Amino acid sequence: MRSPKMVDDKKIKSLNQRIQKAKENSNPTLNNPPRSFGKVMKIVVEIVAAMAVGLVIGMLIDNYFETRPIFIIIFFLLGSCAGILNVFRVAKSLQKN
Amino acid sequence: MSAEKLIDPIHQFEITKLSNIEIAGLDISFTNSSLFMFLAISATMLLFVLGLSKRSIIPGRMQMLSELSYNFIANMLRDQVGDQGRSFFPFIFSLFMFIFFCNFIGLIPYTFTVTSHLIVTFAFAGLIFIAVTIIGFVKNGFGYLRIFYPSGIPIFLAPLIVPIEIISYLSKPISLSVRLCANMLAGHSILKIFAGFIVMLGFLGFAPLVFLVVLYGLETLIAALQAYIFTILTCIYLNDALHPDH
Repeated sequence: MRSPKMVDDKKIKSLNQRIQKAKENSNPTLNNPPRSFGKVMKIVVEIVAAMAVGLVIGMLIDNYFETRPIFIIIFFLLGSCAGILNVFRVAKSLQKN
Repeated sequence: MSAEKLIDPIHQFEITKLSNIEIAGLDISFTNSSLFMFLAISATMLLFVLGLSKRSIIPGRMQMLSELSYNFIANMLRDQVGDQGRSFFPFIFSLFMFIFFCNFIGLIPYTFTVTSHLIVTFAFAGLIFIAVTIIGFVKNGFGYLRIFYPSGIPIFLAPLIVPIEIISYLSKPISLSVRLCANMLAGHSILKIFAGFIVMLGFLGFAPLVFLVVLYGLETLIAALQAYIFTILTCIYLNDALHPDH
């Protein structure tokens, strides 16, 4: 292992000060655009995925008991509810950041 | 080249075999997808081997980049999961770097975007889903099943709430994989279509060219953003498995 190059304390101190200054001057909203932008980007998929899962479960049950289309309807509605619940949760967990 | 051949936005997603390998009837040929996965891993290795070889106190550009990415993921994991998540850092970090480099290498013309294939992203999401479920059961025992029946809900609502919660739980890997794949697929198709417009319009092509430059900037943002979202959602799912009561 190579030992790190020795640099005198003065240099590091002045570097720290400059970093601190630059951080204060920079715009905080510009620093993290992913957080605000990301919320919008990801929410639609959440609803669609839950609906699809509900639909598939409904179809499987219907095929098994041959009761088409009762369970498809029930599970599609449940899937929609799950999708809305998902959106609510994701939005809440992202807001925490 | 004919005009039809120029605008074939799906052609870039085609998988071609680079070498034929077949073992016990299984086709495990080395494809262009495998090649670009390999390239993404090599790029990650290169960044860290080159970046951390000097180990100076005042970091250079490469060292800064590798240290920043390390801090970024470490902070994300600490914010989302807490100290318990520490042991999962290697996995989360590799996941982020792999998706990040796959997305970015795909933006270079004539390359292949690994993450634009649903099977790749679904393999990741499915693996994460299974792993998170197992971790949940190992850490909480059968108490993990409580996530399907949140406390404080009257018993007569259980037949409604439990199926909704189960569907919501099962939809996690699907939404996770479809989000990444759809964003990559749509973005690259649009880029290709607009690039085709430039050639078709001749001199007037400067209008779509300007738009393409803007679009490329947006795609660069999306490439980083989708890697970030994929990773942060993995952290959130991990947190749900480790602390099901919250």
